[in-house]
Amino acid sequence: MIPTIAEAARRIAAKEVSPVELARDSLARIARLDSSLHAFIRVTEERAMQDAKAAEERQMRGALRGPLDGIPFGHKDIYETGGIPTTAHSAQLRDHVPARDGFTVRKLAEAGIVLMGKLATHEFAFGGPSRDLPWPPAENPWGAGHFTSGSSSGTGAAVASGMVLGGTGSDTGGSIRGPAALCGIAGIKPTYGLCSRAGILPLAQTLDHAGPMAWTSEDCALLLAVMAGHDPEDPASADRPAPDLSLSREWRGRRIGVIRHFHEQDNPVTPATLRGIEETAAIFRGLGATVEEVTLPSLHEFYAAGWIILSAEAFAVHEQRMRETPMLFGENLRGRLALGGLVSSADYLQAQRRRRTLIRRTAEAASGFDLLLTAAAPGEAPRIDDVPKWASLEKPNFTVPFNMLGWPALTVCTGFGEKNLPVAAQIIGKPWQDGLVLAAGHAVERENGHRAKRPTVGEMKPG
Amino acid sequence: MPEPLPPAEFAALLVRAGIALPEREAEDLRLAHPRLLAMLATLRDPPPAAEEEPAFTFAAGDEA
Repeated sequence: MIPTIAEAARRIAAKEVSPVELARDSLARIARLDSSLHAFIRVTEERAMQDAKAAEERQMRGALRGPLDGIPFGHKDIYETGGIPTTAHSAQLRDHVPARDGFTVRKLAEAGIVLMGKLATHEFAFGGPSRDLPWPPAENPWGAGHFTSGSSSGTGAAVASGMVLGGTGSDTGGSIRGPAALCGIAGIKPTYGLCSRAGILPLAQTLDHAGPMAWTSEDCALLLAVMAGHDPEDPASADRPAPDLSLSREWRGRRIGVIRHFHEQDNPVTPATLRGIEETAAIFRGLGATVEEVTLPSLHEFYAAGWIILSAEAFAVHEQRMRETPMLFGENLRGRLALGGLVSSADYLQAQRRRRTLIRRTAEAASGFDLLLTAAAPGEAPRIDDVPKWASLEKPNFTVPFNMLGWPALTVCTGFGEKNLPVAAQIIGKPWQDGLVLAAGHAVERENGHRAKRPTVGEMKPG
Repeated sequence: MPEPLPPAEFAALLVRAGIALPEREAEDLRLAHPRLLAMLATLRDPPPAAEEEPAFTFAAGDEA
């Protein structure tokens, strides 16, 4: 039985389980599963046992640092870890060993997490899935050979399979919420400015967000409480009081807006995904909230401006590498960055101007609503080898709008589709309402019952 | 969807951007490029309003 972070924390506090036992369970699971899932780029076994023993010592003397103390954890391999290689899943950084931890890595270490290792990502959070990199792509624990989505692919696979209880992700166009959806876990892209990105390798700075991924929304709240906070080293970090992350909320009187045109017209989702959204809306109604339809600008408008901003900023980040060592990138990333290099300065500025319009129009349309609801992904995971190189140009995704807006957005599992793979919904809040978003996810997970089912990875069959 | 640019014209775009790709990848990119052009077209239709600009405003305390 794999515990949630909240359950493990209660058992650690009650001295019913030792952090060393949890770390050994995690290492055993990694040894058994990761040769097929490829969620880890590097397992830090020695560091894990050192962290676990230190947590156990605090447990024994009643000096636990909080609910994350002794929890097996992994960092996406774009989070810089002092003394531990941080590769971005790329030959470009195969030998990159940061001198110090990034801000959120340091805060999580101070909270007592047990670092199990560094997790797979799409190359530099933009390139996958790719088979021409130094490490293979992560695979979905719910189906061998299936896509995890990306870019926080390793975190999605490692959390879903229980190799870690929580992990970090980053989200520039959906890289937390996409893998959370296809891997059947929870993941929140917080409000822009809530979590520092200092010490995280950038992709596109005006869209980049850092955030947690875990089995439940409750666990994401525990992680976000530690990851959030002002950091002068991140120019986008907001200096404001920590948000209220309590999960106990009154739902009567709340208004939920379903962005039906996103998932029914702009990019129609599968029947299972649609059913999950409808059931989620029904849960909110059952809790006493009012659920109504809301119309935002079209997904296509968001996506065009968002993709142009993302790809142009990504090219700017990697311009020197693209000129000097382009062949050290995988083919997918090299092509995507090259396309970003063809965006002119006028194009980029028009996209930023359109972004301003979209933010204004969305704020007007969403006025009076507490939360919004739509899809997080169109359906179940495809096979990795069926994901086209230019998939991101084919259809608009459901996540980019909230990177453009900077609003908090959470993926929650809403059930399973025809292939018995997870489907998900996305719950969105107003800026700094991260706590309300997580409380909504927590309420939905409690009502829909889908947190009881884990993937049976050992019994995976080729899909 | 716009037509792909002629190979020579597309090659000139890559050179201007300082991008060197293997021939096969450059051709693949040339064929994908119209999707980017289609997205770019949407940014200018309708034209952005005059007040929609990437502005920067000083916040209280910035003078300190």
